[in-house]
Amino acid sequence: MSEGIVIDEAFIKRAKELVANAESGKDEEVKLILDELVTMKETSLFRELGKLTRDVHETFKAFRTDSRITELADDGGMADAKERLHYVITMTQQAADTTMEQIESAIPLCESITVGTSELLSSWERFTQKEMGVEEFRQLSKTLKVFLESANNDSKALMSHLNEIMMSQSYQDLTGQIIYKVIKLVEDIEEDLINLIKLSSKHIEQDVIPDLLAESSLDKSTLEKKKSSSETDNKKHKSSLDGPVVPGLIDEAETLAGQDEVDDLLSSLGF
Amino acid sequence: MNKDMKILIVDDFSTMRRIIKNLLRDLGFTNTVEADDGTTALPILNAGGIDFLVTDWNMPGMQGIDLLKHVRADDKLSSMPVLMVTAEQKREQIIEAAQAGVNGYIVKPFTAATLKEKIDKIFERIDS
Repeated sequence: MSEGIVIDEAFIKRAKELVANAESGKDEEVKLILDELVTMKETSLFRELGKLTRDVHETFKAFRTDSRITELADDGGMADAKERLHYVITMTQQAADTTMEQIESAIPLCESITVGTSELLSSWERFTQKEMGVEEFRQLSKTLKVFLESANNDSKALMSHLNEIMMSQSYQDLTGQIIYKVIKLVEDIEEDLINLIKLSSKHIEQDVIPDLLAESSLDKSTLEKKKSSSETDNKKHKSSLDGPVVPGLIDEAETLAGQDEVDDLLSSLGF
Repeated sequence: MNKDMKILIVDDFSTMRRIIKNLLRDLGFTNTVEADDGTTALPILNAGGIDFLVTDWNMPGMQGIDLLKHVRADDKLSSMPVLMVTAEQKREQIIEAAQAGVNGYIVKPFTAATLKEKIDKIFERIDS
């Protein structure tokens, strides 16, 4: 809308009259025609403004009925996302705590083995140099037996601590799955916002849209593809996998509490 | 149970593949190969020589449940024991896996003892 004015025949006619009157010095006529032209411009502006308001209103109406937006609001998509991210913090904290506890339990075992082997090495050295008496050797033999027994236990315990540390790393898989879900949600919101901008952009210079798209991580073809298949996407979304159980976000009727319940269900199915 | 059997571990998270691989090694199974989803697992299965499949469910590309169905539908692979190790624990999903012919189902996070128990159970049934 070039400055909200419609240059039509009526306008040109009045403009010509304005020039003619100005040249022949008819001040009153000039003033009259100028006022009339300004009114024409304002009417055109108001008409455009009305159209814009109606478009925005329609866009918001369409936006409200977009099922994904209502789902977001109804299911508390954002609240879910926050809950999930909080759980990620809890899980990483737990994994780090477990790892540190296991390491702190393992270090004294390593120290005990190190001290024991150092002492035995120097005694063994004296024995091989034939510097050891019979009585001292009997003592060494007893010490050696005690050490071997404790080292055997210590290394078994060490192995178990290492296994615990390894198992606690499974948080990476589980938090990864949870974070993927949050990324998907952010992408959905981004896509919906871009669609909102597209809908209300009839009055915005068209080249602004590609800029907006370029700034977003979604490319235009993905957006078009997603838009065209949004119906099937919605269905897929509903049947999509739940991933790791996040406390507070469980459908308790449908979700089993853990391995024991899974085993019970499977055995009821003849497994 | 043959400790030399070749086991294919399928999971999109490399950390989880390493955990399973290490646990299997502790149990005496050292002959393992890995794939990061169903699509990459299929050529390995088709090449032959795999005796036991351990797979995740939720993976990009081909999911574990589709891999299981594919295995059961393929004459050359259909008798292969399949253990699912997944975070999915909805009733309907476990039923779906059972119907698709899974031999064992472990939910994440799991313990070394659970893995041993399920593997023992699977091969007890096969061997008896």
